[in-house]
Amino acid sequence: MTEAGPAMTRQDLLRQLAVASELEHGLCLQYLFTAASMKDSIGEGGLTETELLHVRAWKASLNFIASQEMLHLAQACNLLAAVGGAPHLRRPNFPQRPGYYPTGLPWGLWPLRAEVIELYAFYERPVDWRHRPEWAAPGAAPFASLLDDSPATKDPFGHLPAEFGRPSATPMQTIGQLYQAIADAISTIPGVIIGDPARQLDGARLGMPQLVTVLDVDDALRAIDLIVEQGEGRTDDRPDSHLGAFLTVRRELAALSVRPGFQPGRDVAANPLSRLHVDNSFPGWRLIQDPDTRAVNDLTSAVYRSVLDLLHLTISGGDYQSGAASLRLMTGVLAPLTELLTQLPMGEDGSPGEGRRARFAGPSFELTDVVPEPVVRQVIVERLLSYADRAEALAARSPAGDQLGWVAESLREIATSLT
Amino acid sequence: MTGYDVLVAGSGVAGALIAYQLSRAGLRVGIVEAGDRLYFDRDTGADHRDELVRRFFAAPMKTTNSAYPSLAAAPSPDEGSLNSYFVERGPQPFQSTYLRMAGGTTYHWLGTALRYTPSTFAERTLFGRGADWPFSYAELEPWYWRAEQQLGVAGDDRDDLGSPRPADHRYPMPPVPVSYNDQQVIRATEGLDFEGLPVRFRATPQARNTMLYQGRPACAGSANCIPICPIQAKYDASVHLKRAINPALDPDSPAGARAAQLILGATVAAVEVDRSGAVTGLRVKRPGAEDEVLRAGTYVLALNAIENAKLLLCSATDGLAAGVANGSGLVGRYLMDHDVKISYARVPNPMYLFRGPLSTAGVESLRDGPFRSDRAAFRIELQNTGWSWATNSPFSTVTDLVNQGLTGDRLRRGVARAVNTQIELNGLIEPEPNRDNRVQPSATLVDSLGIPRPELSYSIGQYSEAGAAAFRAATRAIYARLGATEVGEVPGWQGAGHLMGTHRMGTDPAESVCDGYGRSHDHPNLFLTGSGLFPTVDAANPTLTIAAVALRTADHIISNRPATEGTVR
Repeated sequence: MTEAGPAMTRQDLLRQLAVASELEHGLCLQYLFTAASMKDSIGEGGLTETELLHVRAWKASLNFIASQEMLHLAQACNLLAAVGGAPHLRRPNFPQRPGYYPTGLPWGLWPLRAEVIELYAFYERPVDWRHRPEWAAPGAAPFASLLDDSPATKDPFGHLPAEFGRPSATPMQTIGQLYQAIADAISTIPGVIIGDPARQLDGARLGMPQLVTVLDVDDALRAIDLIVEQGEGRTDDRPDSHLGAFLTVRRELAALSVRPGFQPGRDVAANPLSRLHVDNSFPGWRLIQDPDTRAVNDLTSAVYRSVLDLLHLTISGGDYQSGAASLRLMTGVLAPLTELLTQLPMGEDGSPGEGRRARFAGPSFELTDVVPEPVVRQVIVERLLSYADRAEALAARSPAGDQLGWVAESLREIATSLT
Repeated sequence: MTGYDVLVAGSGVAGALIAYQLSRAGLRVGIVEAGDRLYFDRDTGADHRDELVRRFFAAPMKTTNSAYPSLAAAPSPDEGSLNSYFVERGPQPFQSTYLRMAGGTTYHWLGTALRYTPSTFAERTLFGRGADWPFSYAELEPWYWRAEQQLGVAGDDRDDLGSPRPADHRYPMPPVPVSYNDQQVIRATEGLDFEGLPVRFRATPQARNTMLYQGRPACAGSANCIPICPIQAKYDASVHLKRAINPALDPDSPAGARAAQLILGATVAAVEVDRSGAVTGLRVKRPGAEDEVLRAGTYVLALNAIENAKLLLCSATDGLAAGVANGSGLVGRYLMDHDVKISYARVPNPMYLFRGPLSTAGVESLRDGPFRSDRAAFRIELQNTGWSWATNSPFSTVTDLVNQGLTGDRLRRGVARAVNTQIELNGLIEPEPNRDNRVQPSATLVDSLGIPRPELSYSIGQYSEAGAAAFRAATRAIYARLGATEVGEVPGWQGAGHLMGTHRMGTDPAESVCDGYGRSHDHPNLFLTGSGLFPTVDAANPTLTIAAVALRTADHIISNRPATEGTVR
């Protein structure tokens, strides 16, 4: 249990659910990025056949956990709708300072390495983490090296007098505490459930059978319970929670790393970006120099934005055809594009240190457009068709022409399914 | 002095589950296994299937056993050379295979985890055919549910598929999502009836993770379930075998659990019985070693329907001329398989195949009805891999298009188009028990240990032929809804890999080999398990029923153990 603080109001609850949505959303993308950085074949080098089987299992676990974060995001949408809010599908671009969310943990896109898995374990840790591995001893921050590329910056709020406090998204240090506080608020706010039941996402129609429709307090608590159990587990020694899975990956990664030459991940840059955005106020990013790679990354970000827009249509309008299309976009377009990006060159700008920098890019999932979410499908159809044209044009000049050609075909098919 | 409270022969799904349950109850358990090694680390539980996956990659023929070694001392039958181990007496070949290794045939099973329909337990009463089971579906239902927890079945709680379940007997995991391919077929067949029954394609319950479960990952869609899941998202019996021999690997291990002793590389050659009718030991053979007799208070034979029956018959002595447990004369008889018909066609629009497991949906709504008095029931399995079983596509598709002169990009696109418009529907046809379908030890042919090879007599009767005709008619109706062309059927029959019958259970010792717990009518300390027990079978795959019946047997052994055995939990 968390320390008793002032009772939450409905407004507090809405805000915390929005924060939970951002966290689930962002973690999903981080896990997908790391999974996409893992090698797929011994032809890429650095792997024996035996090692490849381990990497395949790790990749499966990360992709699966990412899919559960999508489920948790959808669950947060239902909770928001139940207590009178709208779905919250926005988030800041990567990377952000560790203090952006007061978990105090690094927030960005990193390729596979032990420290990254350790970071993920910390994100999914329970409030009372008793069975800690050695590297996670209290006070340890094994993943501090992830910020090596982010020179210590001056605290932008250091000049403020103490009584002003510091901006933070939530006062909870772990995600478990956040959900506990949300559960406490739902249990105590009188008449907390006021939302229109028609705004609830139907998991069966969305292809998420575990999604709980929140019509009363019991439903809400059951939904939170499911999120917590899947994330950190009922007890912290369960192998079948996200935490348990990350600990398994970390343990196996350490064991296999004993072999010199073992390289399970591609040489992927951390926090690649096509361009800087107004919310990229924290360092650690690296701009993609190769124009073709940047174009593929832009296409990927655009498709990702369309996935969000289709989800928004589903949530706000009960348009499950859009929901189905969003799932097809994720599996049929985003997945191959993210895999492709981790094999495309970052390019160089001629600055010193070229040989030390990572060679390949990765999906940055940039949110660039300041435009309202569409409420008419035709807007998205037109976008998808234009993306298909872009993919085709890229295919014509890219060594990855086959993959981009298939992406173009899939985009057209999905656009057609929406008309 | 007996070495063990219970000796279990075989470590497939039935043997591993029983050994696991008995070891949790504190019994001294020995497991005798012909396989000579493990593919996991018994101390850490770490899986070591990489060698098996490599073997599969290297195999020129991708058969169900191509990932696994066939041991000189304990050969496994293979589709490519059935007669190198089986002695086929016909008139039709018995085409199903199995694995003799620690963990058994679940290493290469598809993972389908269906319950039988209630009628299957009373076919004689309801349909005038076959035999009634010694217990009802209602009695087995709680064990089905436990089996679903143990194997980790992913299924849809909203649809019982004809096998009722209490509301709180939920699947441990949500269903494997139906594929795009499935969705198109579901949509096209809405409202379709066949002989008065709805043709409903639904998500198939399967022992395949859709969540992290038992420390195993969720399915990553390798589409390689047979012959081996490369990441163990699919259940295999090594899950319970490792927990039986090392309770520390079981997160829910009770304090009184006692590690089972695993005896590898030991093939059981005979069951020894004393004059009182009690089993006194299992005689085992090892290459280059003297025979050894292993002793226990209670014995469980969990090999499979063919090896169990062969062993009992091989154990004949002057005093038991017909073999052990064979007072009824029925050991080895009523051998069954789900004989399979493969149907295929081409659909107008792409199905985007090879995503997810080999199959994620099927028709279970045609598995039961009064028609079973006259013809076999069937289930339809919708493949996610096009004509892979029918024509060995996509390899055959590539060959065809190359022969048509396609190369380069045209070939790649041509293959994608051709493969993605394929649909394959497989019919698992319910067999009628036939007394003349049987396994016997060969009188002349032996394996390298000198143990007789299994001699199989097998025929597929009119009941199945009539069921196949109905399957053919149903698939044509489905293809018509899909606007499919190039409709075809693979000639003849295929085996489903389901070995059933051969030591049927029942209440009448004259008409059955053992009782409803698998206890031999002739030898009170001998239990038989596995699908050899089944007097009749549904059209559904048998493994979940094997597991449910095995758990029920384990509970019976624990509940009735002598006071001196084991420790109390």
